[in-house]
Amino acid sequence: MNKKIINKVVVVMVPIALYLFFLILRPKSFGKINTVYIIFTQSFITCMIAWGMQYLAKMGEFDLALGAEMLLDSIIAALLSTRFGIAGIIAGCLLSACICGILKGLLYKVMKIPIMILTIALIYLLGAFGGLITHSAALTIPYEYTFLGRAPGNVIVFVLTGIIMYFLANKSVYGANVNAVAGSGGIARNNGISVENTKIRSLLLSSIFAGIAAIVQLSHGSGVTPSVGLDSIQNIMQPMMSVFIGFVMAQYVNVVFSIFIGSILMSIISNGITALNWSSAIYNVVVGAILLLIMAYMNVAKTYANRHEEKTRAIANMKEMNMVKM
Amino acid sequence: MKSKSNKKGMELFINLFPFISLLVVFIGFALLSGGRTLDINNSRKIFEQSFSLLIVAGAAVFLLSLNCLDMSVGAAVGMAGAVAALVSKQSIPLAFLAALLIGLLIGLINGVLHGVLGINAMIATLAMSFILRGILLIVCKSGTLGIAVKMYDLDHIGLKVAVCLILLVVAWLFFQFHSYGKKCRAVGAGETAAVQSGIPIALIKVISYLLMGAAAGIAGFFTVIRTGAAMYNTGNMVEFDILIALILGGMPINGGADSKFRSAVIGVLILGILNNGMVLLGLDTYPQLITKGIIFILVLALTFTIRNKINSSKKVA
Amino acid sequence: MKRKSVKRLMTLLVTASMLIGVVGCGSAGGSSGGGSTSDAQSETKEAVEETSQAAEAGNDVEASEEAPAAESDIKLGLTIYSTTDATAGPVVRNMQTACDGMGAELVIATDDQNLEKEITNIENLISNGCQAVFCLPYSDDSIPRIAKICEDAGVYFGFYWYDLSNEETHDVCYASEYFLGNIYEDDVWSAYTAMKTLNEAGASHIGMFGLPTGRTTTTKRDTGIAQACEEFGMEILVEDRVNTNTSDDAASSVESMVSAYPDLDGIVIAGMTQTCLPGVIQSLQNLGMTDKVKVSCIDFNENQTEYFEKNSVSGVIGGHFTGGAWLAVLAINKLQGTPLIEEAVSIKDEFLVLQSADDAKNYDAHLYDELPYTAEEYAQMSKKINEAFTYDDLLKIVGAYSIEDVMTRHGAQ
Repeated sequence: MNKKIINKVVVVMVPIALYLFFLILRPKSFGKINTVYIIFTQSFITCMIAWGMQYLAKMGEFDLALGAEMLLDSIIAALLSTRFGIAGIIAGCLLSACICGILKGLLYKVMKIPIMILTIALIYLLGAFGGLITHSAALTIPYEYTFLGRAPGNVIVFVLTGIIMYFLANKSVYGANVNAVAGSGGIARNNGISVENTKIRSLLLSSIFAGIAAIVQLSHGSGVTPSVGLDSIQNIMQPMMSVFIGFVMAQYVNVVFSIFIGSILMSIISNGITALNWSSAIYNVVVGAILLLIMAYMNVAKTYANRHEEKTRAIANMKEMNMVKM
Repeated sequence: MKSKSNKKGMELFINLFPFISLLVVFIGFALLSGGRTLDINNSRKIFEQSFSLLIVAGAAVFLLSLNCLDMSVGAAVGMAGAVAALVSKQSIPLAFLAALLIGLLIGLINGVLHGVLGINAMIATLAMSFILRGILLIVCKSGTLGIAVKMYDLDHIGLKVAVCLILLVVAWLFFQFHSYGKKCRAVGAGETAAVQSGIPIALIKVISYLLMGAAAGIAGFFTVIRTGAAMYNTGNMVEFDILIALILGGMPINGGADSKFRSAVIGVLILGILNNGMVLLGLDTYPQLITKGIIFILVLALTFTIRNKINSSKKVA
Repeated sequence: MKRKSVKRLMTLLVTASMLIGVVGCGSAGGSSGGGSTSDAQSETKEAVEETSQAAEAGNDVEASEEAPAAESDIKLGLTIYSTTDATAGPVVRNMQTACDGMGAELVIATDDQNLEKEITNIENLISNGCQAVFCLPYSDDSIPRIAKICEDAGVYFGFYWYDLSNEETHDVCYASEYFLGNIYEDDVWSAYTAMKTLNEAGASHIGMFGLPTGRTTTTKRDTGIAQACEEFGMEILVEDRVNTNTSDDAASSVESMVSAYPDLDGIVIAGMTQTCLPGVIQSLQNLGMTDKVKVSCIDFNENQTEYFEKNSVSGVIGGHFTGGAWLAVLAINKLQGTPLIEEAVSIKDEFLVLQSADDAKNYDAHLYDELPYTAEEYAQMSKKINEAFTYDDLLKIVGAYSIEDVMTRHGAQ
């Protein structure tokens, strides 16, 4: 019991330690309460995307088209906002997210192409489609419609999404199915869980969460510029890292919370690099390197754990045999 | 009985499909452009435009047959180009060597990340690509990196044809006849079975990524000769072009026993004619991308479905 | 089993036909660039209508793409990063009008600001039968290559938005008989002026957004910013060059900048304006700092009029959209056998500086919705039509380029 509490405290200490590190380097900017506020609010968007991603990620799949999809969501929302105002923004993002999600699910079901390959191809299609309907023009929404991009709007959206996420991940049949498939596809199948359907649902879900994040993102930046090609993957690197960090910490705290911690860590790093006025290119290098380190750590730890398990099992077997002999 | 002939028909279709596509694209664009694509100068340009892609696609056959991907090829081409441009001021042979070495180094890192540490190939190489692009931006800080003037002498179509032929023939021999190529296909067909038959999977993967890196190095070297300079976005989207070319060429996306080396050559040719033709017809960027994306998904879905059927009927038999 | 595969085939076909329709619509549209979201929306509608018409007419994508010029046998080629956005779109439209007026065909290829693609485009445009090709070389070092390709093919070439200040490349170009010339802008001046408008608005501690280093333009703009800093005692506290993929990134970046540098009182956007500006303005509004932090930018964008009305920007420098048209004038005259001037030329194109909502509105009305020069005006620049026209006349027209000039000529003042 005590150890559990200590573990939880350690998890919370990680972002604080990172914050202190930057505080020492740049006391002027990191010594202000405003910076803490900015770090929190900036992590919301990352965190919501990451929450949606984690289901697929758990099953070893990644939807690489999410970044391109969010751009398209925002474009459609901005177009609808001229007629329907803030309702257009919300409906546009969610509608586009649902259509994208269903399209992905359908393509996956009908064509059975591996998800990562399928979504890579979709990046080009969605990006080009966005460019086509806007004629490459940057779209903006008026200030009156940007309520959801600043406090308290973004906090409300974030907390609501968090609550939904908590129930989906911990209390729903679907969440349990994802865990079962993540454990072993074969066993899940034997227990009557359709691996394919679970993945299709996760595809749809990741789209919807990204759609909600797109609402906040569009309201926060008030504009969207279409972009083609793999550039849009860069927009989901932060959430992806948050998911991995979240998975590492999930053994100590609930995954919903651990992913949030991951997002805060990413937010601290990006603010730290701006505060130090380092080249933003360094940010790419740092983020990529951390991602690789975490994944390597996770894999090595898994192999180690497997070996450990095998060893203990072997020892137990031997003991059993000795007992029988005796 | 009927299913057997059906299966044979499907197999024949799958094997002929790349050739049919090539023919359709070739004749189609020749007709649409009023014969302009057939012009000898234009054909030469198509070869020169496809040259770098041909080399990297040739190496990618090994990786794809293993059921592995490399999303960092483009960035590796860019890095190798930048290094070649930097070193070319000293000596051109040294520049080639440097490009090759940087490619090999990137390949080694990718190989270790996926083969040894077991990180998902796509995620590992994507992360790698972001790191490399970041470094490339820092390296190019002083401006674009121009090559030494003497290096322009290497922009000779004879040299390119020779390099291309030698590399492709060697790679083909290795892939089709050497035990390494066979092992690649065996791993792609099923990792567990391959492990049980004693194939050193990690080693095979590392070697394949090394090959990919070396090819990216050579391609980077020739890319800067063609453009005269390396930039922060040199080699952009090459990874997607490779994928689309191999799929068009008839490569199964999951690798395995059906992988054929000719996919690289045929696929790159189809893509080269397609790209050239779309510009000749005056198509805008977005329609070009959409056309490529749709073709990719359609061909992928078609071949994937038919292959699945063939395999399932094999299992039944 | 069979029914299933029929279903699959149907899905494939339906998706394909849907998307191919979209492709058709894309190449059919692309005339006037959008002003605001509503503009873009109406354009989409137009495009859709056009598609259906095109479909009726046998779905001939090529036909709707081609300019109505025809009948002439002069064909010019242009490679540019986009044909529609707020900066590149007007260049294409002006050049197209010049070609229409003077009786030439224009073929356009897009290159995503990628050097390899630019070279490939030039080769393909030449294969397409263009007698002159124009580009913006993304690197000084690629110019010898471009010159060689054009010389080998016996095709004229010229550069827009490009300053041939590098001596080596200057000599390479001027040694070629096929070099027509280059149209350049003073990018040191543009960045300097952007900073100056900030200084006039009372700002001195500046955060900067910009293009990645590694382009000639970036280097020039950096020089201009440095000059202004020295002259007016300003300081660049922090810069963000690559990390701005979306407006939201720019908004986050501003939050971080303001928080890390409390004395920040100005933001200059020296590139990627279309993506950055909305995020910057929104973020300052959210933070309630619109009055404290002044903003100026280089390159015109879709929302500048609105931002001027709300006092959110202090200055916008841009409007350098006629370079392509001047190159077309030079090339067409040369190809018609009546060259304006025998040797290659370097022509300086003027920037426009907007400092108020009125400026922006006048620009929208007279230089964007209507173009600064009509097809008839361009026709008068062809020696074949107007024998008296000389190179000096052209220089006078180029030098006079300003909002007032256009308004006077078109009788709006």
